[in-house]
Amino acid sequence: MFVPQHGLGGSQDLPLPFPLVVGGAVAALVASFAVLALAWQRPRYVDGRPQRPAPPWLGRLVDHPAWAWTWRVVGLVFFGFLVWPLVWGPDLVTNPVLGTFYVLVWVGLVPASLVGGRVVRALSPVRTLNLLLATLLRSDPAQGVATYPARWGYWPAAVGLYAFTWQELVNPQSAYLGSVRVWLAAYVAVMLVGAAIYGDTWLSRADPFEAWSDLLARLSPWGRDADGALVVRSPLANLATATPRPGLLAVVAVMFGSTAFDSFGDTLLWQRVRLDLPVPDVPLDSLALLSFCLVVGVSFALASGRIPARRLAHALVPIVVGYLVAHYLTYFVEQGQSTLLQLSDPLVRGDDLLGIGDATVNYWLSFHPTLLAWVKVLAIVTGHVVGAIASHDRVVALAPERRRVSSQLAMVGIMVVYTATGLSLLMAG
Amino acid sequence: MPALRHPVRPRRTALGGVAAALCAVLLAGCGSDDGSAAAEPGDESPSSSPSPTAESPETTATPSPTNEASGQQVEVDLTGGGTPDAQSVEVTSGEPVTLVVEADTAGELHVHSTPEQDLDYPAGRSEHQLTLDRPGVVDVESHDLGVVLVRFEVR
Repeated sequence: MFVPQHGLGGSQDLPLPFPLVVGGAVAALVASFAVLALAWQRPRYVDGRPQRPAPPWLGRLVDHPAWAWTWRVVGLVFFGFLVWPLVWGPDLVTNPVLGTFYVLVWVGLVPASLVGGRVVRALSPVRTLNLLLATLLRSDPAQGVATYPARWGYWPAAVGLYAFTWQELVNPQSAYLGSVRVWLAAYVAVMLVGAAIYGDTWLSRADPFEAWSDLLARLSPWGRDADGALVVRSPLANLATATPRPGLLAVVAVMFGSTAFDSFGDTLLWQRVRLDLPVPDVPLDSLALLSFCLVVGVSFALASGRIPARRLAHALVPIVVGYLVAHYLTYFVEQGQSTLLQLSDPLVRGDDLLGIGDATVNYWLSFHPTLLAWVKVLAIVTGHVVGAIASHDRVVALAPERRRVSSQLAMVGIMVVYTATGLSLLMAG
Repeated sequence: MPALRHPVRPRRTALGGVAAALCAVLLAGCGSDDGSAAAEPGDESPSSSPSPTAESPETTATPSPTNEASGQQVEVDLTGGGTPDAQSVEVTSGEPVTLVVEADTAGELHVHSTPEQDLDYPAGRSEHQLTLDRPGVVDVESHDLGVVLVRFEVR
């Protein structure tokens, strides 16, 4: 008999208190009108400006080949390490593969990209494998046998993100190792085959983790100027540099819709609907998840009016980030700690490879529910304000003078709807 | 997000020891069914009336918060073969809660607390005491039925 030191937790955050939700919604409304009434009348964030060069030593460091290779090796070694419990580990919820896949990687890439920029691109084991394969075959990793069709844009990544969120939120087998094995095997295969056909452009456009991390990196201070030199920008100026490729809105809509569905799926209301409807759970949940993504995408496209939606879609990224913070904060902090402890015992047999076996998970955050509620509401309102400013700046740049006010009202209106919906979902029990 | 609290395969082989340890530590009275496993069908509690008839498949989990010496009591009625609606119950963190399970056949409940707890109940009426000491939302789920029975809001 053995007793693993760290069980996995299943409790969730308390619903947000009603007064705080109303306060948050009112703050979002007021801030929206303040943006409309007081903000600049000419676009401020064009072509990545304003920007200033990063300190020269920092530019030299990150442009050094050893820097890139360090992160590639780190990513590849960590992935290799995880293959061990993935293939030979027991099918227990304490197998570190599950926590790493759903918490450290999926949720962790959000803060990592917001702070460090395009971290998934730097660490991605499939990107490194493609590079090594090309080196071995003496070919160019960027070249495939065909050119990636530009009109596909980020659509493959949006499909990949739906596939991940389906695995996470719909698949009843999500907490079993077998389903993660299948998902990861399919992911690696699709990435490597795609990269062989289209070169590594495929990885930028189709890898759900890389495309999502690249997009979040636009909210980080790090960018590159036209000559490729490292520059520092305000997150708002950086966000405006997001390339409006086809499928950009789809990527953001899947991220927003799936997070909202996650909140909604936990409500007792949805649990009852699932019981009462004579439809099996998996098709019903798949359809509901898809509907949430579609509602976000279609409503935003309608609100964009005559401006192509993908040229405004970047303004949704801060809103999604605010909602993700509210949704995942406790989960990431507490489940993340417990995953780190599990990584020390990858085969769940009592090992302590990292020498942290005596440590325990710190539940300080859970014990401060009032603080937690405030952080959540502030995150959502901040995301809303940043999104409203980003859309304002773009509308001012693109809409003709006479349609400017109506375009702005539509944009801010849809954002208020999203924010209010997000807040009320976090309030629902 | 709920991936890691979704139904977890009954971990009898590997984690049976853990469940036993949890029973000892967290579930005072777990497994000691106070003799009610052999209770007569007519042995009714004041707040729940098990009437397993084919005409009434709709049974409900009837949380009846009462402040007795043993703390709050929550009744879960699984008799009659229906699937009860989930009920939301507010509890105070650190105070014991007694889960009273009424069932036709033995089974297992899963308490999605941190760490997770398994709770075996026998046929008939049984009482299980648990203490939820961290604020948050804790679901009590029947994996046989695949439904949430009670949602504790621990404050």
